[in-house]
Amino acid sequence: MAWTVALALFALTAWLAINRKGRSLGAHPEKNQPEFVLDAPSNQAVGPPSLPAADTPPPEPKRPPNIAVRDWEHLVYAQTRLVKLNGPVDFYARAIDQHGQAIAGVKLSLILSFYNPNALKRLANYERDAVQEEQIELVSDGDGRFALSGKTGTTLRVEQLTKEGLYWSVWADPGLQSFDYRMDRNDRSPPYANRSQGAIFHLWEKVITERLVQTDFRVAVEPFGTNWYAVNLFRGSVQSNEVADFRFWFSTLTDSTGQPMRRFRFEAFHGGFVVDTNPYPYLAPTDGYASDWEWTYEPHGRDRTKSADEMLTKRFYFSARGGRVFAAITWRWASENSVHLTGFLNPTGSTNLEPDPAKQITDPEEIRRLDEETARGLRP
Amino acid sequence: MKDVTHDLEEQAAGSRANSAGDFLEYLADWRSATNQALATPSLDNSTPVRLRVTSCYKCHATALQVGDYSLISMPEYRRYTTEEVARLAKGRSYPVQVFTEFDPFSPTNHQLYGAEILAVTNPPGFLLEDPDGILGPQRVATSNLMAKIAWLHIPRLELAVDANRDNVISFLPNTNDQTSASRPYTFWLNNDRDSGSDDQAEDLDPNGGQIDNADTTIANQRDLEDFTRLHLKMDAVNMSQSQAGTLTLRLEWRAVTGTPSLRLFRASETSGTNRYLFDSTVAASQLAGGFGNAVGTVASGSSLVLPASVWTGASGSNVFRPFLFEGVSAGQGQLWAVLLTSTGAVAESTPVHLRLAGVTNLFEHFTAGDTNAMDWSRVPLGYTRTYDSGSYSAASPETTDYILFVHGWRMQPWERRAFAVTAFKRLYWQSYRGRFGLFSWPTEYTAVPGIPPENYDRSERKAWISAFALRRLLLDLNRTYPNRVRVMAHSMGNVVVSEALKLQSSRSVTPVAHSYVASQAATVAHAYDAQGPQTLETDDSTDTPEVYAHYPANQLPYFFGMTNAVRLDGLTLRRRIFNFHNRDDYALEFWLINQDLKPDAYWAYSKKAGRWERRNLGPNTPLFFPQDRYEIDAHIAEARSRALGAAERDGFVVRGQIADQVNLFSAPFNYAGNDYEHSAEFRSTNMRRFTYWNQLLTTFQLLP
Repeated sequence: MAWTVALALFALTAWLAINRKGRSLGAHPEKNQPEFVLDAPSNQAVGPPSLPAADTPPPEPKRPPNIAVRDWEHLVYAQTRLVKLNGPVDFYARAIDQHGQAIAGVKLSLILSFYNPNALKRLANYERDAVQEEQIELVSDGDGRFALSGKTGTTLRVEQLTKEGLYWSVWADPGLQSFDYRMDRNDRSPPYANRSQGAIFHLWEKVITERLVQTDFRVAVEPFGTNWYAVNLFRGSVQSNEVADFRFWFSTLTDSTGQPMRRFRFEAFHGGFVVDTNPYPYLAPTDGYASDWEWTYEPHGRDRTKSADEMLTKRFYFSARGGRVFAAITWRWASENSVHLTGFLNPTGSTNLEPDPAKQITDPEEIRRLDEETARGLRP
Repeated sequence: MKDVTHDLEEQAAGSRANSAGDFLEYLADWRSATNQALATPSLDNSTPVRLRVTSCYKCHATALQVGDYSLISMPEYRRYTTEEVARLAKGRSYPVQVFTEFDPFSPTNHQLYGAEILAVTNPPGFLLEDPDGILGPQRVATSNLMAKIAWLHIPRLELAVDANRDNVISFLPNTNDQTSASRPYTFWLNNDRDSGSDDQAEDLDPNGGQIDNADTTIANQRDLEDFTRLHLKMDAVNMSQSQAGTLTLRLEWRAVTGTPSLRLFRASETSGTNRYLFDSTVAASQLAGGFGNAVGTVASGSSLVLPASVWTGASGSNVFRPFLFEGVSAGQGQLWAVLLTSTGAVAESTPVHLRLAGVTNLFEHFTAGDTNAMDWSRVPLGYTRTYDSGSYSAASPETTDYILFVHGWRMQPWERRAFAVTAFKRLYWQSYRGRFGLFSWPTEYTAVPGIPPENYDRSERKAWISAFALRRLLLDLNRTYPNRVRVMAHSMGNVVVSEALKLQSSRSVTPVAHSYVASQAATVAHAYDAQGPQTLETDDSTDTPEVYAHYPANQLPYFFGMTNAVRLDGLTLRRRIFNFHNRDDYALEFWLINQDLKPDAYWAYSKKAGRWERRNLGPNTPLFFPQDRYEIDAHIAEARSRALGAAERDGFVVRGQIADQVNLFSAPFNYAGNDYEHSAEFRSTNMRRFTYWNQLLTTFQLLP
């Protein structure tokens, strides 16, 4: 009996020893020397900007008595990992207008997020305290430049970019809504953190606006059909090519791997297309228009970075009716059976497409008249 | 035919007959035609009144003219008293005149007449204003009788709600928002506990304190999601009388089932739009300036007389008042507005049929375990309905589109309902008219995430197993709503859904879901796409081999083939699986750390033996793919990629099984890295987060 008890005790002791090892953070190679102290790595400043400099590490949090040692170790480890993501925040940018001229006095409102090294001090509020934010405001100097340095954090987010008489929208500068500073990011030297490069914010200085027609309509399409779809910019989808400004068509094919793909073709009547790469959608080019345009949608193709919505959205300028009308159009396949066209038309032959709600032409009778006048002599 | 109902203003302006002779001539020409025209208003929009004219018995004809409607007694034909019932359009005030052949040469020869306007219905539906006393059963004619005018007001009272949910409330004759006993306007009781007006606003445990409809105030901006609109319009009602309190308006329930009760608040916006749900500025104004304090409560058996202060600022005889109301107790019935004088009811509205119900009764709740304390070995392979689930039938007014929501980790049973309820409400406010369901599963709960650390992994194992029940539910739902079932999962709920779709695809190529949105998914990105996501650890430094990008059984991404369970999109030519992600998601950063903390206590991977193991008192138990995959994945195998919901960053993307993505980090969503933003769409306020639900419906092809 005693022998049996001794054997059982031995087995229990051995099992506990094994599991103790397995449960230890030492089981993880990079955790061989667990960092329970939330001090800063030597090469970076850690901590919110309002705290003392990094050479004064925050005090080591104390384990609450009701938390098991091992649980506390895990939590401190996780917190240490999070705080290590805070990177040095250097931000450089420049504001320019549509002529490439620097703009002084632009106010840039930013929000800096950072992991809070002191979050474990109040365990009950741990989740809420873990991430903190700081509001930052910068004003561009005489050369249109913004500069920020000496902060630490994970993300700098643009809240607003404002100056009287100027537009800025995230649409004009896609990708300039936020800036990543986390230490585990892939790109360690982004242009926005480089004083000699910096981000470029494009602002549009409001000019003299003209009366425009806003176009906003849907064209019903058959996703696996083979029809032409004719479009009159003033009226929307039409049945007849004779009163249309352009028409489009698509076919469903398969690529070399047997995956489905689509080919689109656009053809203009009395005009042409320029695919839009201009950050400003407010001024159409005067030349360079092509009367037809083809492109392919390959959902299973190599370009994995773009979403289907991006690939099935096209922005283009359109010169119509022998140059009597210019338009900036966004063509978007919006749902399985409809294409959405939005944009602005200038029916005077001017390339100015800057929208101005106060000057928009909204009277259906006037729009009908403009449709007929600009097409005079072009239709049978 | 002359459209006399539109000539009342002209009448009131003085183009009346100027003499008895003119009048009789006029009568001869037009009486028949005008009376016929006046009698044509629709039954709904008119009030019947009895007109009676009496002449003295000798010879003097007397006529009563109400607007263009006229009635004459003809003593010469021995018709001393004439009566007719006329239907007069509601919402108008009619000038009333009495004409009689007065003899100027015998002024003392009193000529008696009677001119009366009498009720046909109860309440009568009209109000008389007769300052000179020209109306009555026995009156004495005077020489200037024709110059005296009384007024007959036919009030029109209208109540309306946004019954067709197009965000516009229409009154009669536009009947878009008509309700009926069989199709009442259904709204939920405000029996939750909303806290806050900012991004940290959330639901509190409704059993932990006073629920929101227990007091008479609007608690905060989040609370506004539980208020809907009631519009009141009154025409031909003298506002000065209302303001003086001589005319009052009462709201009351009739024909009730249960004990319906609602609490009324004045809307801060005079136009009565629904911007209080979508614009923080309007929402703030709704909480200020007294608008956040109730006007009163309308309960069955306890009507509400609106205080005179409601009419402040109104003038003339037409008034529009927008209100908001919250549901206080459940039931169904007709809500009526009744106009009262000191002597009783004068007129009443047509009713609005309302149904007030607990919100969890308005959607379905299926579960694989409505608890936090179920061992993994007891997680059922089938689903049941919960005790408080609603149920749909073929006759339900909702469309047959179906959205099924699956919650994530660390949700107590009341929190699962709270998230589903928020989803239901915010979809409702996006004009979603279809059906909605919650699938709950037995995740564990801990007050502080990470303590104990295994809580997460134990829950994940239960998530994997709960996929069997979900698959059966999807099969059943798809049978009832073929090709209309959309699934949305949050965080760890995506383990349940992704595995359910994989299980289904391994058995059939017939889709069971129209679309699947993986929101802030706490699943391994490599399991969907081996190439796209960033590989974080490529060497042997990690504890366990990679099993997600290259599943040991087939060397393909683990969820490969799950797409077959989801419909092919005719637009994008991909299966409709979408990743709603936020690269800065705080919880998913923690998820990554948890991966690094694997294996859990009691589990291991033996590099020496190349073996997955569960530790026991005796020898370790070896674990194998595929039979032990859930245990291995949950407790031992580390991911080498980020979670799906945070993997699209730094140029890395997740495609493979994923058709497309929505970046919640960018505008207009602007999700950031705060802890509450992992569940931002369920927290905060509708004003701040409605863009998410709009996007969800767009992705589900439920919006244009």
